[in-house]
This record gives sequence, structure tokens and C-alpha cells, in this order.
Amino acid sequence: MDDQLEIPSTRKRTSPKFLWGGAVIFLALVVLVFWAMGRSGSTAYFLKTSELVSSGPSSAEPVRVNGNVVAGSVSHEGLASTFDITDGQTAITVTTDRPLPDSFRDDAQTEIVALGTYDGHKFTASEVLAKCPSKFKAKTS
Amino acid sequence: MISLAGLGYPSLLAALILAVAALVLHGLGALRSRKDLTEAGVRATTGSAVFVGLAVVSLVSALYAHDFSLDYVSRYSSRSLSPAYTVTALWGGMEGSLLFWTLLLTTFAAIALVRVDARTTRLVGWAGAVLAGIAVFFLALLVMPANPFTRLADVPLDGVGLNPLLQSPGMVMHPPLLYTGFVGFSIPFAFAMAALFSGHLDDSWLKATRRWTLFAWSALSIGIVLGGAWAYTELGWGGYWAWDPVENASFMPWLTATAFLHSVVIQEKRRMFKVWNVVLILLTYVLAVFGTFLTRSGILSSIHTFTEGSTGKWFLPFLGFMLLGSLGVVAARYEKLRSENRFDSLISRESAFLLNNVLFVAAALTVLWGTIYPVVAEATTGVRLTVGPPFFNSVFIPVGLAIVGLTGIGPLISWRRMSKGSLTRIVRVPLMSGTLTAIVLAVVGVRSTGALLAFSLCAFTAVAIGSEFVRGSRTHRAAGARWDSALLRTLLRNRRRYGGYVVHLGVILIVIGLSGSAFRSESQELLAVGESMTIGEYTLTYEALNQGQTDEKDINEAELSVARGGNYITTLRPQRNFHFAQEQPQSEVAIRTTPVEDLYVVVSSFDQDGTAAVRAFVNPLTWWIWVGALVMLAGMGVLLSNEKPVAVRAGVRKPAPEKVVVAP
Repeated sequence: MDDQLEIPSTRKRTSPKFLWGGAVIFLALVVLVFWAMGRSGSTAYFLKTSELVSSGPSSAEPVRVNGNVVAGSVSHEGLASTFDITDGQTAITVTTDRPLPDSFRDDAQTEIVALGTYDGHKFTASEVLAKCPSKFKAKTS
Repeated sequence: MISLAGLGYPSLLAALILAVAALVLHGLGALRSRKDLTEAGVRATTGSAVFVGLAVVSLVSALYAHDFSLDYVSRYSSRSLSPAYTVTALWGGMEGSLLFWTLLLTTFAAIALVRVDARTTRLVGWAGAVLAGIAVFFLALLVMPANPFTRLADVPLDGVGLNPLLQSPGMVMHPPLLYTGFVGFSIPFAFAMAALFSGHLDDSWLKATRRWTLFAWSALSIGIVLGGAWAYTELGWGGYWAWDPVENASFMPWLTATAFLHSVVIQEKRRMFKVWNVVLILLTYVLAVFGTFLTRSGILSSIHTFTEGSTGKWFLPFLGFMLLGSLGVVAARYEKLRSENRFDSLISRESAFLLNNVLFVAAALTVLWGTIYPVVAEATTGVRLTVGPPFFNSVFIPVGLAIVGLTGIGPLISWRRMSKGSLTRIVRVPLMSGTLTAIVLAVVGVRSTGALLAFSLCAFTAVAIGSEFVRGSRTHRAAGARWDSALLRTLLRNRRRYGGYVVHLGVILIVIGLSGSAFRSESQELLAVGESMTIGEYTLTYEALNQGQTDEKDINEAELSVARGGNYITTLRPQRNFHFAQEQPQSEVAIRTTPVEDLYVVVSSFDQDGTAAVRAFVNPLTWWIWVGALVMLAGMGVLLSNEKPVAVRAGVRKPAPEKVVVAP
């Protein structure tokens, strides 16, 4: 600990320099947060498959889509995997060259979240995550 | 081993009754200033801790006895689970982890309340009441919606088992450390509340709980790093931090707690920032409970979210009550919390600390904003959104670098005021080192502006810290000590100051490691046996496929020889195994780690003919993150090693002047 004695100081108003300094820092942080929110990839829409299909092809901005794997739809070719997911109403085809998560299985229990773009026919994913597999998820009935 | 599962629920009930008794006794003791009631309250708290301990023993015995008649045991353990990991099933699921939380809470509370000294006796009643209130909430959860002792009608022959991802040494330590951190903040929180309730608003609550705060903060820091290390070595995506809501949940209280650790110094030195400190500790604790809630409620989409249980709706009112209640008490005591001093100058240690606090709290609020924005957006506009890493990185890189720079400048500036001339003189050497680093790196060929800035700021701060040690050890060296013993003496004579610098040094090393991620590279190829791929300067050759089997899993191992410039370096053996109990494959990463860079290899799939999908990463400087964490740990050890003797000695040498409260 510094061995400095406390030096009592007389009470006085906070100097305007501090108020200005504080205001500048505060504004800078607010601007930073808004700028960051607007950056590409900062926010992504999170859609169900039927919502994705009805909203049509996504623009350059990636979106997240979630759904359950359609059993028997999974195929691999080289590094690429293709499979269908559905929210119970509409199914879409997802293709990705990224590794599938360990808990990914070719069955309807597997719920995945894919990040990527949709061209109206196919969803090209740059990331595929599986929601915690049901076996480890306590189901409260 | 015999299952003592039958003891569990009655123990929880007893603990709940004792916690309620503690709440009443402490509350009455505080209100009526009755020492006997307060003492009875402490005994009730201790008793409650003992019964929670008994409940934990009962659950652990059921886990080891494979008593699958308990729903919890059947869901999170299995016969084939190794004994070392069976204990981790205690915090593998929601009910067990809440039980573990409660064990820590009641134990810490009992220790803190029993070990009171003269400074804090007048705070004990209220602190005990606050702690008992929190314990009542968690015990009520355990007795009602999150009972870990629920029986199954049909007893299965074997359990589901623990997620293989969680069967790793990092995961043995990570959750208990995070929980120790979260729960450890209960003690400073409770004493801060006690100070507010009782009106004893001097800094005795701060001094009495300083070790608790440091302890909790250290546990949380190490827990977070271990979580990152676990993700890095187990998850196989090449990184260690993904800004997932659950990671954020542990990071937010860490940020506010770090702000708190710094701003208490100003209250002790200058009797300023009193409101701010109280707000920081209550924010930290509310965020810690919020973190527990986030991981347990399923309100956010996260790959970590373990369960969508019914405890979420219990947590929200509790959180709201804690936040509004504690802010209400702060408001009621606002007049008494006025600073006794004002800022004298913009260039002063106080301003540096204030800026540090602003940055840390802004960082915490940014994480909070990014984490809950999806919920807010969905509630207000109905649009479902997610917030990704680019948002957090965009905010954290500038804010983090500002903090790094401040870490260097702050300790050099004197209290109250400093002339511009002496500031220039003292920062000259660090500033030159920083600039030189940037120039050298630019010449060598580093082109990323962010990385150049990061490395030069790290150099600036490291040299500034070094110069503090040199200055501090000058008297010892003048007395004829060798430089190493002079440095050691400097460190040990003023542990709070120089221990803090060691922690700072660790942080700088971590920042260097994080900055290395600007130069990551990644490559993915399908390799048949005998084929090669290149990444960076490395050539990876798939030599052989080795297969085997254990009781738990089928093992498929790719033997990859690594060469650089035609010279063999090492052999890496990533695996892709199939776990029988979970009917699930799992990749085991292989890493060659050096201070310069990590070569990180993972096999994401094997074909029938043995063709492997190999994904390789080169992660520069990652090694420094773990080394930085060890340096931080050493600094924490110094900080925690003797707080008391220093305080006592300081007190003997220079008795604190009787505080005079000047009426406004």
C-alpha cells in the first residue's frame, strides 16, 4: 500500500473539465456500441425454416435458421455435407463444408442452428451447431 | 459404497428450516441490537451449512453407489463413468449444481460470520440476515422445483452418463471455480448491504471483506480461463472464446468485480466513490446470480443451455427483488454515502481509477446488452435475432486496449495531482519502448493496425510495470542486495501493490496471446492414408489409421507426421472416437504448442476406407494466454498471502485518524 497520508481537501464543486471529459467518454462509448451493432455479422436474424422460406432469398447478410434434421436426409461428399431440416411445416436443404457437431445425428431428434445464406433453394452454412442433445437435456414433463 | 440417498431430502428440509430461523434471528438481532440473537443466528447458519453438506454427501454417495433410483443419478452418471468424473456429475446437471451453489453459499456464510473481528461485529446481524435470505431462496428451489432427490418409479439398470465433452480435467475444475467466484461475492455483497442497513458506512465493510472479494475474483478469473482452455482443447473449433451467452454470464460479474477491486482503493485512500463501490458490488452479485439464472433458465439460445426447467420463473422475481431492493437501500442512504473529497486534477491517480471503472463497467454493460438484446428485440418487435462475435469484438478491442494503456499509466500517476512535466518524465521510457515495438514489428512485416497497437501498448505497460519494480527495489539495492533478492523483497514488503502489478503483468501476457488471434490461419482437407496437406510452414502427412476399443468407446486415431521445411518435427494423433453410452462420436484434438504458435489438428470425420477429414489451425501466441493466467495466479497468491499482517502493521505504525464527517 502506498504510504501516503490522506490529505484532507476542501469541498468544492466538481470542475467542468470532469463533466466535459465524462460526457466525451460516455458519448464515445455509445457511438462505439452503435457502430459495433451496425457492423456486418454483429446481428443476424434467427428464423424457423418456414419463416426463412416465406421471406425468400436472404441478402448478403447471413441469417441463423433452426430446425430438426429430417431423418435419412444426410449425405456427404468429400468435405461437404448436405441434409434437410424442418420446423414441422417447411423443409429446406442445408449444405456446408464445415464439420458437423459431434452431437449431430441423422435423426429427427437432432435440432440444429445453422448460420449462413439462403438463395431460395439451398441454405449454405458457414457454421452448424447442435442444440444440447436431448439425451443430456433434462426434459421436464 | 452404500447409497445414502434417503438422507438427502430430509437434510435439505432441515437446512431450509435452519436458514429461515437464521433469517429471523439475524433480522431481530440486528433490529433490536441483541447480541444473543445474532449469535444464535450464526449458529443457525452454521447448522444449515452442516445439513446442506449432509445433502451433498448423500447425493455423492448415491452417485458412487450407482443408485439409479434417483432421477438425477440416472441422468448424469453411469456404471462405466470413471470414479474421477463421477464426482463431477454433482454439478453436471441443474439440480446438482444448485445444490453445490447452496453448499458453497452456506459454508462461506458460516465461515464469514464466525470469523468476525472487532471491525465488523456491528455488521454481522444484517449481513447474516442477507446471507440467510439468499440461502432460503436457493434451499426453497432445491426443496421444490429443483429437488435432486426425486425418485424414479422404474429404476433403470444403467444411467445415461455424463456428456463425454464434460469428461475432461478442465471440466472438473471449471464449474466449481466459477461457482466459488459467483458465490464468493455473496460475502462482500452481504456486508455492503449490512453497512447500508445499519448506517455504518465507513470502509470497515470493505476492509473486512477484501480477502473474500479477492478470493472470489481470483476463483472466477481462473475458472474463466480454464473454461477457455477446456473449449480450446475439447471442442475442436480452434478457438477458446465464442461470446456465447453462458460465457458472457461469467464474464459480466468478472468485469464489474474487477472495477470494484480497483475502486475500493480510492475509497480507502481518498474516501471517495462510496456510492459507486456499493453499487458495483451489488451489480456484481446480481450479475453473478443472473449468470446462474441464464445457464439454468433456457431463455437464451445457447449451446450450453443445459435445461429448460421451471426454475427460470423463480429466478426472475428473486433477481428483480435483489436489484430493486438493494438499489432502494442505496437511494435511502444516499446522503450518508457522499464523498468526503473531490477530484483535484484531471491528471491524478483518482482520475485514472475513475476511467478504469468507467471502461470496465461500460464493458460489462456492453456484454449485457449483447447478451439480452435478442430477448429485448423479440419482446418488443417480435423479431428473433442473435448477436454474434463481431459485435463484441468491435467493442472489446478498443475498450480492452484502452484498459491496457491505462494499466501502464495509472500506477505511474500520483494521487491528487501531477504536473504535466513530471508525467512526461515518468512515461518517457515506457512510451519509447511502445513506439519502438510498433516500429520493429512494422518493419518485420506485421500489417494489422489493431495488432500493432496491441503489441505496442503491451510493451508500454510491461515496461511501465517493470520500471515500478526497478524504482521500488532501489532502496534494497542501495542497501547492497542482489537484484533478484531486492525484487523479491520489494514484492513481499508491499504485497498489495506489487502483487497487483504481477496480476497486471499476467493480464498483459494474456492480451498478447489474444492479439495473436489476428494472425490465425485455418485449412481443411480430405486425406487418404499417405496423402499430405500444408498449413503455414507445416506439412502434415497422414501416415496411418490406428484403431482400438475400450469399454467406453471405439478409438480411431489418425497418425499425422508434421514437418517444417522438409524436417520432421513431431507426430500428432488426433482422434475421432465413438462413445457407446452416448451413442455419439467425439473428436479429440491434437495440439503441438510452442510460445510462437500452436499447430492444432482435429479430425472431423473418417470414411469407411479410412479417409480423414482433417482440419488444421495455426494459432500464433496462444501459449501466452495460459502462461499469463499462471502469472496472474502467482500475483493472486501474493495478494492473498498476507493481507492481514500488512493491515495490522500499518495500523500499528500509523493509526488511522478518527474519521471526521463534515456536514455538507
